[in-house]
Amino acid sequence: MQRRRVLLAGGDYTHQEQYARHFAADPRCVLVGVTDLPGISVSRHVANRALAERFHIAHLRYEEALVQPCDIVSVCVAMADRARVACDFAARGRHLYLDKPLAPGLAHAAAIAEAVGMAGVSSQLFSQVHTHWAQAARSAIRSGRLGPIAAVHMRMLIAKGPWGDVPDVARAERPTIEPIPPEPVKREMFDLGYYPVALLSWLLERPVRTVTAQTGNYFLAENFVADAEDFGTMLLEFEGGVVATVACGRIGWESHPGKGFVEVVLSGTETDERFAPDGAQLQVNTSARPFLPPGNPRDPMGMWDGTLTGMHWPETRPIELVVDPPTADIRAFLNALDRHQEPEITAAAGARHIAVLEAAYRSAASGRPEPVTDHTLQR
Amino acid sequence: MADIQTQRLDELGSAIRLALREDRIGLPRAIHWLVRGPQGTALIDGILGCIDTIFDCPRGDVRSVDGPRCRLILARWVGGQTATLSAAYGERAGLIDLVVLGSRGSLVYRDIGER
Repeated sequence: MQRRRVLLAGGDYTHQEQYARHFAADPRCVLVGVTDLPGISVSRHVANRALAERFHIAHLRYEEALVQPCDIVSVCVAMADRARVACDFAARGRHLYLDKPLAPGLAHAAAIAEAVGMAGVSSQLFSQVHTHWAQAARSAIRSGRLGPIAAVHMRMLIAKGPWGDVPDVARAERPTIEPIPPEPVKREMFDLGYYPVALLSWLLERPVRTVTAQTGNYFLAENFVADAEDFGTMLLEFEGGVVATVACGRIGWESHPGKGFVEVVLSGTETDERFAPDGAQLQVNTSARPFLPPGNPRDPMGMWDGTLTGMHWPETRPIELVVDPPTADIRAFLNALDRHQEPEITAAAGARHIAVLEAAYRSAASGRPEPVTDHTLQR
Repeated sequence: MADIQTQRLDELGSAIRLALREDRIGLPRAIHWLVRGPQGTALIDGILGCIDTIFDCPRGDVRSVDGPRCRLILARWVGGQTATLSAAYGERAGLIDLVVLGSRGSLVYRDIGER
């Protein structure tokens, strides 16, 4: 069987570190190179080359990559560059595996969705829908045992980042998704808020119509200095009347004994049920050495796999009984390609998610519920 | 006699304030609170009042969204704190699920109620 050739757009210090590893681990794939746009920063160039060297694959100039024979492009370049790269390779008939969030705004996101549609290629956006707990939540809804779903609630609060001195002041909200700040911070209602928007839309199988939202700087000094929120909360109104609460953010390394508060609560007319990666876990009680956060000054938030490798976690960290294989999302993408099926979270869905997040920022600034614009995009 | 769920919410408020007095989690910054029971949305005022004592500053605006037999609240306090709350009607004393995020830690409470 001929293996699918995978080109990596973007390198180290991005999620490409894990995407590359997961594609390489699948016997159906072979990595063929790393590329990026011309004119990128020296640090990005170095990071791309490092990934190429680690996997013993070519580090290609962009012009070379455009004509490099390949089947799949894993797009994990800087946010502002994603539309150009995704559109360029979709136009050349490459299937796209896309980092999240899809793009820094709806115009870029819609361009990607349109390019994918016009080219007739397949696309999948990284998400949590292929985890065991998300699949269990979907099964619960479809079984009807909760009764009709009235509300859903999701927490995506990641226990990463060093606590710092952050004053008790309200954020000056902006009505748009401002340019992504430079490393090492992210705009967390955008970056982490994507996950609940994507998962809840997928679970409920209906679009969000209205958003009420707020952001905060509560935990991380780096985010406060960069004027990038570390926390966001949303009320979502879905088509058909179902409503949702969302709390998302990066809350500090020691805010949780495990990875953080990652959970969905489904509230049906009959009962409630919780779904989470730590739904079943072994609690560990022992004396623990002091927690030592990773010492990577370029990544104090521990965003990237390379930083977390070899990190000392406390001995008291709970042990989850069910651990999703890290390759689950990419494996699902490859399965969809093999079966000529549409992936669960496509570029078109990703564009809808951006529309929801844009509405969230408008709401945070206006203090009012804001409608989600552009309902023309189909899942 | 106080409703069981109301009593438990009062107990929760006391425990949270104790944790804050003992400086267990730093300054309280954000709360995500889910509740379901026979009193339904009637619990909202009491919970917001409890959160007032947790954040210990004047409350700002309160925005609400109504769903099927539930109400969602997003409220702000003048120090920048936020609380997101869902209160739903249920025939039996049901769910209380609460996370309080502080500047140096968190508090968690879960009670699935009567079955």
